[in-house]
Amino acid sequence: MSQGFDARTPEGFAVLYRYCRSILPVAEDAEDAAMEALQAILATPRILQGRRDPMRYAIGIARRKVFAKLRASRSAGWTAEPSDDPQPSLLVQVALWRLSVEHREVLCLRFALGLSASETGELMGRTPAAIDSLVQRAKAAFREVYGDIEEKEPCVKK
Amino acid sequence: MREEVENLIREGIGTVAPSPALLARAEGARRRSRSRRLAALSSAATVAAVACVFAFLPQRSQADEALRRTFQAWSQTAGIYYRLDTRVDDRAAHLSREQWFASDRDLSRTAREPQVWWDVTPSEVRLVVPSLRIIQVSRADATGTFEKSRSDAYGFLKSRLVDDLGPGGKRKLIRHEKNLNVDRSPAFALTFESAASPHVEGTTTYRMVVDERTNLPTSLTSHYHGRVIGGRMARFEDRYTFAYHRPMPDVYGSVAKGFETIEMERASARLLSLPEEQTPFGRIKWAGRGPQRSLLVVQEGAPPSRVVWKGTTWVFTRTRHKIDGSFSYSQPPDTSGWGMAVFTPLSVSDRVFKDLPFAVEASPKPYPRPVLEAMAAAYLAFVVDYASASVRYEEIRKLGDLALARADLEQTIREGLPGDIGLDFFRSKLRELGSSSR
Repeated sequence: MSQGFDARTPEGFAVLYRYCRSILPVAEDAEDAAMEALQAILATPRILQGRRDPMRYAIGIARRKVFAKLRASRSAGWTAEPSDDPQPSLLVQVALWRLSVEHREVLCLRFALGLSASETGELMGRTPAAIDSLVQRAKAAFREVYGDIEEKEPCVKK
Repeated sequence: MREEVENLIREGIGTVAPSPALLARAEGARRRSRSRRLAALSSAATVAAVACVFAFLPQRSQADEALRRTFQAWSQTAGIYYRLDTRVDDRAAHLSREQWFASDRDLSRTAREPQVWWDVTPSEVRLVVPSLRIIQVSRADATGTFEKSRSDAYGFLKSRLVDDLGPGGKRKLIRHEKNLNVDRSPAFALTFESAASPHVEGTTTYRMVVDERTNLPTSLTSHYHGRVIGGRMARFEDRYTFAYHRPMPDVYGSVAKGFETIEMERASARLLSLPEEQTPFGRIKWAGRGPQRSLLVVQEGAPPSRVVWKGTTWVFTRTRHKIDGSFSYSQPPDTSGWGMAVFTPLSVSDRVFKDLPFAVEASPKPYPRPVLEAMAAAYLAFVVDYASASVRYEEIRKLGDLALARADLEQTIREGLPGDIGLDFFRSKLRELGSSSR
């Protein structure tokens, strides 16, 4: 998955954005985080050269930007509501944003971005086994929330 | 269900794509990163060029393009960073140095090797000038940023909070929470209370969380009338940026120091007397009465930008426009007063700037007066333009003319540039830019 990855291409940037968007419920925050990550990469273009896993490394940069945004929103004393851009209206995304950050992140990394358990573990600072466990818990939480939304909020369309 | 969850996630998240606007921003960043920096230019001269943009390029689109290129040329200037973020909201007000600079590595250089980061898109204009403290104003408070080195950040903050005897009132330690666990790190918190300011009722409390391992503060939250009014700290390598709040009059007290006192009453009276009329920014309308009277700039198909007179200051708010044409107010819903007031060097013009409701704060070692003046002219022109504020377009043009006309500015340009390059150089460059952007 990582091979041939280049964050500077539109496709690579989309991966960064996808990751940021899955964690940050506010579209503007996700955009800013993705841009900040891209600019950090652009500023030192050799940063990804020769790396075995450029995608994981680029996501690692984006991860720091994302968590800075999360911390900022907490310390500013208010939590932004998901904005009304069209993409988050998807049921899956609504369900994801009701999960904890680490559940959101592990599901995104493993299934949306296709990282392996070990790559995900390196990013999140856990062992592959711990990631597998976390994935199971995240899936269970997702199923519960997803079912709940489907049942109680049928107006949220896919 | 196992497969189903994976497929759901894959389809739900895997199909998320950046908007065309974001892709355009990314492409712009890529392009900029490839382009070589243009030759160093005198900051004053470049600002004069900005003023030229408004003088020579009356159409907005042309001006945008010319400004874009001008700021590209504004790298490697004489120690000037300029920060202007029209995404005026709580987050922008608390943007850390790290966040500003993370946007472009060029900015992470030291002040000795100054760079200007610029980005002009329909939704944002960002420049950085750390020499000028740009003050964001909320309903009853002001926010500024200052920096200290890592080693003395804690002592500085503590002295700032405990020992500050400024107009905001003396602060005292009222609570010491020990054995906290913040982000899995041992920490303690100090809560200070600020005595009532002569200008603001009630007290403000500040809670500072300190990481025990480093003994450095990691966050600071302030409360006023039970409401969180912000405060935040961010680490940037060996420096800290600390966003703080002070009562408005306090800020004006310090703002005026070293400069002429702003004639707020006169400026306000002038703004309050603006007639309802159509302007290039939209139709000016008034709403409400008395001290909370709002001046709205109504643009077709968009919510009004507001300029609200708060009794002591004007508070600008604006909307965030999205690529799909929708919009959202950028400030948190419970703090409708969040917004921005624009502060530029007060000394810019006796004739024009005293008539505008803007104040100034400059570094302890200010740049030469003409430079500051030119910067302010350009800054104001930007802000007024992009924030759809209350000042009429003609006045922006006037500022451009003013900046060009000032003899001392021209002198600075002549002295600050190598060889024979002078104002005419910029005039000709801008004409080229203008013609090529058409």
